[in-house]
Amino acid sequence: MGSKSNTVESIKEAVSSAARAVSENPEIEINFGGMGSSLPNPPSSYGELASFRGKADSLACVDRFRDKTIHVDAGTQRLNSLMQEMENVRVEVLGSKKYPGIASNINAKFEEKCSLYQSFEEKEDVLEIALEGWLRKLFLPNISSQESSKLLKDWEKEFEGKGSLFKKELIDSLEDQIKFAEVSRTLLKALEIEEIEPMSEEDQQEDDSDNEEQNSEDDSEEESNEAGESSDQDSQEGSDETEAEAGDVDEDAIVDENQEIVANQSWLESLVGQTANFTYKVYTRAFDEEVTAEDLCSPEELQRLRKHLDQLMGSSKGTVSKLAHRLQRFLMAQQNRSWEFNKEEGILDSARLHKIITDPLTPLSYKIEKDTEFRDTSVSILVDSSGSMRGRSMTVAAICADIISTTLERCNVKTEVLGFTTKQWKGGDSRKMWMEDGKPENPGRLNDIRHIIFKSADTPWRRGQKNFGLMLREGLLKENVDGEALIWAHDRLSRRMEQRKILMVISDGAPVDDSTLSTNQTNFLDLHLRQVIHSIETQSEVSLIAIGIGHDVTRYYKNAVTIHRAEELGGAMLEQLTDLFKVD
Amino acid sequence: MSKNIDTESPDIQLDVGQMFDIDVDMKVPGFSEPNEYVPTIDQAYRFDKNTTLAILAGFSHNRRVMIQGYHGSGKSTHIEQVAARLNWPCVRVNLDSHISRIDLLGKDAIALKDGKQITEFREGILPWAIQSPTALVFDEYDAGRPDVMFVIQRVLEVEGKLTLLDQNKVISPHPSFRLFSTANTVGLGDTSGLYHGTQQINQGQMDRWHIVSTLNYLDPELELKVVLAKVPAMDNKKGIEEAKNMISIANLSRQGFANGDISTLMSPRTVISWAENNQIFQDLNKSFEITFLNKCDETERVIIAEYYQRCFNTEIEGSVAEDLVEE
Repeated sequence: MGSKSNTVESIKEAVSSAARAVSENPEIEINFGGMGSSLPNPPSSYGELASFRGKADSLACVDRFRDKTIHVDAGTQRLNSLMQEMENVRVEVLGSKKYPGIASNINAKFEEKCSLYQSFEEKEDVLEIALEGWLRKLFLPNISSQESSKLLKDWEKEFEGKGSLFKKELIDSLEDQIKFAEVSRTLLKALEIEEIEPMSEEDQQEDDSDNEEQNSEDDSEEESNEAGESSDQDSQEGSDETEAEAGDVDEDAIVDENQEIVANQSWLESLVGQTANFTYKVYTRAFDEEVTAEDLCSPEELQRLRKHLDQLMGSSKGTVSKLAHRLQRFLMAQQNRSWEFNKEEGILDSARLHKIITDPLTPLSYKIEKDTEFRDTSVSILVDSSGSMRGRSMTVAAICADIISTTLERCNVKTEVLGFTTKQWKGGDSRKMWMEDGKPENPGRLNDIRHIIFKSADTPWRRGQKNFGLMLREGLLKENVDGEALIWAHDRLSRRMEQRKILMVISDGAPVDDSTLSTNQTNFLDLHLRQVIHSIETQSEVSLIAIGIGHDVTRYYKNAVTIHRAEELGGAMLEQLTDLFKVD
Repeated sequence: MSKNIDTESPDIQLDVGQMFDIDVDMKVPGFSEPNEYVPTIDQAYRFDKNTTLAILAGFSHNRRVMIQGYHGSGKSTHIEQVAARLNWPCVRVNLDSHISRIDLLGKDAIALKDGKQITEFREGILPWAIQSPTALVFDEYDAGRPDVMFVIQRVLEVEGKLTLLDQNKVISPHPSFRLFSTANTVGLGDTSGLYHGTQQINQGQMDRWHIVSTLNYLDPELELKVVLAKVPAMDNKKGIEEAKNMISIANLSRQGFANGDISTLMSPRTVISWAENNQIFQDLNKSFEITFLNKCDETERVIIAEYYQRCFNTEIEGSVAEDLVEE
């Protein structure tokens, strides 16, 4: 990610956040670039920033000051479009009066629009912009616009002549949408604007839609804008299949770093190795990777996916957050503090000092604040990101990961969210290498593993939340090699300082990797998973729980529940967590 | 504690509408003469109608009133100022997790009597207040430890007598004793992530509060009056314009917080400190930076800067404009 795209992203974020705040509507639809979206792509030069902001502010003003249920029909299309124009000016003026910054932004937007009209010769063609300019001059006399006066000159006389009667009425009705519409209708009538020929009207309409995207009222076409992202984002936005390959290019660098980590066999790994009556091996680790969500996906897309996740969340959020709330109360109730009195050492109990004076033989009394019995805890949620999880299961997993990490963060419990899959479907580079080496027998795991860190334990939820959207990305989900992922997640967790560690695995099937299974014995991955689980369960301090979605995981894990519908996941996760916290 | 509190009862009726500048036709009892525990009147204070009515109900009908709201919205001051205008003695106690039973109820203390040291029981704030016409205000009620809070369980009931075990004594409350509290949460723990250190309040106890009134942020116009009253130097054309914009950005930050875009917000107190700092530094942007911007998460400053641009039409540090090249 260059700083360039960061800038673009931060402009998008800042501008849309300002629009949300100004409109007082957290749900206001702001999207960028391309057809049908409410705003163009952010500018790259300072000069264009103001008018870009102006477009966003205009949207926000419309949302805040306009009652969309009110429609006034003036009779003809031409009149209606002029009425609409006047109404737009009205809301923009209201916003400008309230916020000086918005006033200057919208003015910049207006000047940009004026410059587009400069080339128009016909008096009729510039009517709309002239009307807008005249109204702006009327309402906001302090903000002058050089550009508009040139356009206004043809019309000004007419406006001043026939329209002067309405000036006061217009100003008075600024706050009242219906009254303003009435006044503008009479004003337009007084101006005797004629219906122009259909042909030229079409031109006019086209100009409108080009120059005033921000005025398009129905933003329901948000889907279509995705296709129209600017060309540099197109490569990422485009087809999902090509994404993984495109991503591979810059991942070589990461692989090098990871090799070292992977090469140092972890404690658990060596343990598993010893206890084994069969040996798990890996053909090559050269192509494995451990990536953070940010590296895997552009910030734009993360944001888009996150937004998508937020929409999906709507329905299931209620139930899950109710359960989460219960867990939170339960955890809070455990974090009680209290004092112990009559101690031999500690803080002097001043309330009992008088006893020493009344009876000098009594020893000094001390008090000690009891340590909270609530132990430090770190929770790691490992999500199977294989192809079979696609759809509802993955969505629910993402929602649950999101809600649980918020809840636990409030209770001072660090939460990590990890995912595992492979880089390619059919063995990827590992398999290619194996083929080049002449296909030796029993090669071991033969695929490029991809371990994803959605949110590390030390990332606050606020910063990590956008990454959960990545779980929804179609192209991400491929094969799953559970055993190695478990070792990886376990190692990350055991490096943490917290006293209690909980590893929660969400999976919907046995480990599957076609490339590996076709070249080794069929239960190769399965055996390894069982070994790893056995080692963790018997010899590690980490508590391991598993939740299987439509797949009986009790065969593998001691502590496991199986649920049949994805919707039950939230309940199951929280129940399991609550039980674990209850134990001590 | 001194014994010189007058044990009298309210002796006059005061007109609410006139006294608090709110549109109600109502009379409340009050005292004609203040004593040393009556807070001083802050003439600049503006009353919020709903909150004032809730507090007045507490005073005139002996209701237990809890005021809940975001930080810096002036909850405690509100109660104090109402008490000040009624000449009703008012004592504020800040609860924290180290306040213990002894602090509230009393303890044996050493005293000199006839030149000899003796120990005698000294009543804590609670027995003292309950026997006098005092309004006791528990500030940060939700920061108090739940186990300690049970001490006041009985007192919360009107007519509830207080039993002092250490002294084998039962105290009946004074008819003009009043109890108020302020809290950031409604006793269900912190759900916003803003209020670290708040506790969940036992529901049995929450139930004993007759009135729970929410005081969040003031109307922009009311807030403007407050700011101007606090910083009189701004009460001119230019100053009012600035103050209006300051309140605009405060409201944007509150809206942004509610939308989940930013995680810190500007309270009325922030706005006032900003105005005061501006008097010191004579630089609006600089004083904004040190009053609020520096308290914000780095990643969110760009959003705050954007709000700032909307309200003042100037770019401050951290704005997106910084990264763009001049053409």
